[in-house]
Amino acid sequence: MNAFFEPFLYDFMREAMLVGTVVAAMCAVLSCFLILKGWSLMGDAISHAVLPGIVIAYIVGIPLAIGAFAAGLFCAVGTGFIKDNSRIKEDTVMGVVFTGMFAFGLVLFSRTASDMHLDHILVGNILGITPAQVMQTLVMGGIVFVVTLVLRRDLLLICFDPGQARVLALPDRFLNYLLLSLLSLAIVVSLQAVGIILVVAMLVTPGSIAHLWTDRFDRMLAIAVVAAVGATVTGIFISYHIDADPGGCIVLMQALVFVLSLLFAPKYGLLARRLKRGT
Amino acid sequence: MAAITGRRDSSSFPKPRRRSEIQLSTLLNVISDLLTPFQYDYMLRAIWVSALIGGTCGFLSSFVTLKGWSLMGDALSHAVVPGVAIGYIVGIPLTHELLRESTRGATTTFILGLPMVLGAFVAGLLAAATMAFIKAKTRIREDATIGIVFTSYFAFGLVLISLFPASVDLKVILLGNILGIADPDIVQVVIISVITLIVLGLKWRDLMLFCFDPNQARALGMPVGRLNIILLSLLAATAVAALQAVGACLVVAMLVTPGATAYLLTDRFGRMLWLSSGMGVFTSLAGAYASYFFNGATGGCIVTLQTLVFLAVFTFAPKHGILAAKRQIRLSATKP
Repeated sequence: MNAFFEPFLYDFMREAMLVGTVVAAMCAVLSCFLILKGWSLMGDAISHAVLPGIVIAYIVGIPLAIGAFAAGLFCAVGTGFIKDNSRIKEDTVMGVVFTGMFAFGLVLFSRTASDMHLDHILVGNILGITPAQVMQTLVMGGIVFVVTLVLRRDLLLICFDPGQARVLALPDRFLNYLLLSLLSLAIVVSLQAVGIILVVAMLVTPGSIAHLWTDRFDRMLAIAVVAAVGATVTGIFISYHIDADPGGCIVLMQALVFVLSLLFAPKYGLLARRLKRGT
Repeated sequence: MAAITGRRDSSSFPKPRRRSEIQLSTLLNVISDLLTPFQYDYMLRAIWVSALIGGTCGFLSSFVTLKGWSLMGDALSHAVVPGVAIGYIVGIPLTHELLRESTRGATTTFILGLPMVLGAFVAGLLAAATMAFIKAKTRIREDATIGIVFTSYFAFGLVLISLFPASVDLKVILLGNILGIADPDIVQVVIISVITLIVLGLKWRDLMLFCFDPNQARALGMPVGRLNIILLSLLAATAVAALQAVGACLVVAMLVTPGATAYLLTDRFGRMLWLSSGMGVFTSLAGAYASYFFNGATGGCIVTLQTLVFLAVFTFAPKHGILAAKRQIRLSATKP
């Protein structure tokens, strides 16, 4: 029993779980909006596009988070501009823009002497997090979480029904950009925990899980948060015991929850559907 | 070679007197610096292998762009990672055994090259099947499904790699390592490219119609399901090949950017195929060459170059560029 709870004895494990919990909860809340709006790819694109921002911020000497945030927004705006001014489909434009920015980040990185580890940016390094980063994650993650929850009614309307939102004279442009900014911020905050490549999972899977369980949005938010936090804590816990990459374990745990929901969710699960067809 | 002797000559004259002489010697220095990559075998190899991969991906990218499968390309390139990891983990002990048993290079390299490609290919197809299944059976949108599936596969690969840290270098998978590509991997790349090019060459008309208008293709009695699987398989196979050159993160660029660029330049599909493959070859050649000066960031160089070409075309394309569009607006405004 003691060996089982051993991880809790270490400071770095407790900190990892704390940070993981905050990141998971924040991403889970956002993921509910993203999957309703169909912006899963946007999360993928922005997360890759932050790389040049991080490198440039390092060269200039400003906080990395600011550079990353600016680069994420630049990617979103650039995609919108090229899409509006050419005949190429949006998903293709997004693919071109984010890979271009990521590649530029790699080239810049190769010419910059630094003590940054590219692996840590790409796949995260939640066990090696510094106290300052813990504080930063808690504060920024908390802000994104609270803002998203407070504005959830307005954000929900622009996700579900942009036309209606305009009729109600909601500032839909502003809200769109707000959602984009929250998304960029969330990605910047999560980088430390899960890295560029797996952030997408944190931003898509919890919302999808919850979507299988309920039709009510408030309930969806709660389920997504619980599922994400549970999967994250378990994932970190397992990663300690089998000595595997924590980011990977977190995402695999979320995938497991998703598969279970897919099978057993009361209304939209495969089993429930089959039973219904049977009667 | 002449440039290199030129450099030596200039250093044996320590004090050039006239300005023109100084300029000449710096010019020779620059030229010899620019030619250094070609002195190395590994650079020459990297350059031609990249060009082959770039051409193949470029060819395929026209279809991917038309079909709107950019996200699919991204997803497959990440989803093959567990296959690559398993291939390495299983394949490397196999290598040693084979090498001990037989010293004949050709046969052994081919055998030991096989697991990685096969593993990756199977992983890619499995991922595609999983996506199709979830999409058909649940109410979750397609883009979210793709996101969930490919991140799960990738995470599985990541966990595998972290469990067997000795056999695979994560960075090689994520960012590619064409400068250090091993002979068996080159054999794989050549086989994949040749097969892909042959299939595309034979089937491009059918695939084109399928990408443009699946309904019409079905109405004409084409085997749409089979075409779908062919295209997916080609995508998975080239994703494995491109992984070698640019790494998992940037494969999608090789599969999207040339097609998108060509689409801005022409309205005819045949021409689009030539343009996109040509762009793939050219940018990969130049990018691999340039990466000599960028600490071996081959993938970064190739894709940055592709993006620059795309931006130039987006601005200046004769018919579909933004400048042309602006000119048209101005023209129509001045006409009464």
